[in-house]
Amino acid sequence: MKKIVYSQGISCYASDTAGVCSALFELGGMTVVHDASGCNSTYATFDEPRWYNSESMTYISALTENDMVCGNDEKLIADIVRAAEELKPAFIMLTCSVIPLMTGCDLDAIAREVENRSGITSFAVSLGGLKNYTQGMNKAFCRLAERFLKAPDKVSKIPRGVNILGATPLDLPLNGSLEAIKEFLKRNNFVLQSCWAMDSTLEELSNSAAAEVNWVISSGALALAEYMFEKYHIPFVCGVPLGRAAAEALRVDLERAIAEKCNIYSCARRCAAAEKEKTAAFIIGESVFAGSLAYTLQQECRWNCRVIDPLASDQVLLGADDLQCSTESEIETAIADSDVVAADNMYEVIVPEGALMLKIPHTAFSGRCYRKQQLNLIDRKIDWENLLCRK
Amino acid sequence: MNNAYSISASELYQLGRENIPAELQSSKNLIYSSPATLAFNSPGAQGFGVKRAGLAVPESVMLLVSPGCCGRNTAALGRDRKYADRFYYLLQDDNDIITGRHLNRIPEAVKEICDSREQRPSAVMLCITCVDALLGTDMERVCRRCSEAAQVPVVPCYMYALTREGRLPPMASVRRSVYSLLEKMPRKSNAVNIMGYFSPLCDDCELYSLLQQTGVKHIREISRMESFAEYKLMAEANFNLVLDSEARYAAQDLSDRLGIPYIELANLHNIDKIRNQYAALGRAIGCNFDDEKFYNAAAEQIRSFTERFKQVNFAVGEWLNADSFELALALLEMGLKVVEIYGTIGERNFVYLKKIAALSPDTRIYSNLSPSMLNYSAEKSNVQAVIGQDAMYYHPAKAGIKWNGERRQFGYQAVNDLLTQLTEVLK
Repeated sequence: MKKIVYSQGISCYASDTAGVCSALFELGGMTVVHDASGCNSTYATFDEPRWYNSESMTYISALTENDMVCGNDEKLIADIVRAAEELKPAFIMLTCSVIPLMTGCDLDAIAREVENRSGITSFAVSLGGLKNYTQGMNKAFCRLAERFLKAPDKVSKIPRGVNILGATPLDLPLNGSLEAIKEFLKRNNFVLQSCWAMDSTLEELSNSAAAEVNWVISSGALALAEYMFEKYHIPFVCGVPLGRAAAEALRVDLERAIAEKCNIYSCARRCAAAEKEKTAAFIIGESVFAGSLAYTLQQECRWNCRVIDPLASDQVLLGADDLQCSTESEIETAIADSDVVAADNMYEVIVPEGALMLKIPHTAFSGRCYRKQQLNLIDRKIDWENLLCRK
Repeated sequence: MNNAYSISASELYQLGRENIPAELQSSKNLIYSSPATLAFNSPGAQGFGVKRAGLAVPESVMLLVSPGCCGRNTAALGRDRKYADRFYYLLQDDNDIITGRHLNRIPEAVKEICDSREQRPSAVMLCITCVDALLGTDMERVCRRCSEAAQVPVVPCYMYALTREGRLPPMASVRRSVYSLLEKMPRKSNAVNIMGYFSPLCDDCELYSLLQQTGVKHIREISRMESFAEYKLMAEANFNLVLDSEARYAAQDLSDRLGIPYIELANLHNIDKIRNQYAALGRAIGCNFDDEKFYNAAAEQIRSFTERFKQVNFAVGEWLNADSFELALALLEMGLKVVEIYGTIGERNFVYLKKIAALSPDTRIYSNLSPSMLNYSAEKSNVQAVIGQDAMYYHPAKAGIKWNGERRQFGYQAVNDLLTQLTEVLK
């Protein structure tokens, strides 16, 4: 029976506003969340590990009941312009919580007005906190690309140049994982052009058309990869180099994408032979990561792996037998007969008795709860069996 | 001088209450979402917000009805043994918000929750957000339907961030909610409730002994109530002592419904004012408190602390268990130096500014919430010691205390504890 209550034991994924803020955190822009305070506080205190150690112009509009009911866009515009004149951000991004979305606040128009008055590039993403973080990231990255990407004829092509797309702490733990990804590129003689959007400047991002291939490490950047493919014919590869098997497959895929100018969804690849294996494993999580892990576990452990995507990703990122479900009861039913579940620690409450669990803390799901237990699984030999624990 | 906006105490006082600069008013600026503003942005991220506060009713559970973004950080609370297994979520999507169809699902969800538990909860706290505020949902009616469906009391907890600066902010409203299950019973002259906080006063707070001097045998705080039956006995109180103004609305409600009068005490740090306040309380309840030993002990500690640290430049923040300006004034009146205050000045606390301006006209006043605080530089400040978690964020290398623990200090005991903690970090 389908339950009414969404969940008791598990969390829900970070919202689109968190995705927007996280995607743009390091780029010197000003991100304004049009909200009373709640959405932003969850992002700042729960989802953003950089919040305490680095400063970013992430502000809230402090929307009040009166302004919500009567409408007072002029105040929002004036507040943003005044702050921007003082702080000189590289760009201004507006996003909003559910309340402005409900009242039909036209954030795009407000962004245009802000740009007219301040002279600073301004744009908006209005998902209202009702979508998940990957959708916020996708929108934010695309808005940024539309306004800042230089055309290929304005930049020099870099042989074997690679843009990493979709790096945020929501998916990538701050434990050396990004450094390991960069090292993977270097070891395989690729050249890092830019990383959207950690450890890269806005200038480096704007020169992304110099790369020969885009490497999507989160479904939160698939739309950006598609945009760059459509506009600049830069092919992309989707996957995370987890363990050895996925890393090697990705190396080959990156080479092939450059040579053949084709897009490759590495994370959707599954090993046909593994379907006959007895151990039924489910990997719950963001689809690019989960799909890459499924491939590696199939190859390295000989498990029959299926992904459960709770984020309603584009189907192209999933294998044929993968599932999409979101509520606690749906997921609980799907994994009822599993032998192994690889997922964030918070899913433990719905893992069936007797099953083994591979706990992989995911900030976009459990926030700060298990941050100290996060794993660096990038491009290394891993004793997976040793990481398993019984429920 | 720092590049962040600030104004001296004397300049601000001269401008007057009606002309507080826009830079110091949160409603006239964007809000800088720095770690220092956590108390404003997310009272529930640390300490008590609506969700955690709502579960102050023993043996209750909470159903949070909201878009995912509002309830997500509750997952951190669920790991606490006290709250594990007490939170449930009913997510709203775009369709729910447009059609209001989620309102029909709430009674079913409440019933489902009650039926699923081995022991029926004492109550279901129904936590709703700005979304239903805007929809104009009649949550009292929804709660009645839920009660009928599940046969348990169902109480609304309004997590309306939009009303944060309104007449009835969320933390005042939730206090009324958690006391709303008390029902009229015969009052006892030896029973008193302490209202205001969601965690108990420190055991060594003199308020307990002072009340006991007057023959009070039952001093009840909601956070010390182990069972629902014990909680219900709070209705027998002779009077309620309100230690936080956000509990005034709840106390008024109890006065109206159950006939329990209330007396409000301010959280003060000047020991003469504390003594006056206890004297006034004694007059109100018709007895005299003997607070001599508590007063003398605090006075001696102040003397010894001031002698040692009168040259130290203190800064006082606002993310602490005190009013920034009241605390700053108390320190100045002790003979200490306060060079910076990070706080929100308004109608409530402008009264302290006159004396601050007289005692220390050059004290700089900052607003944590101002976007210009991004430019605050500890290097350009002469602060040597800080009080408050926000102040510690600005001055991580300086001696400091958070002064925002969950166990609450009050009265002379607060003064003693404050100076003891400061001595520890300063020595």
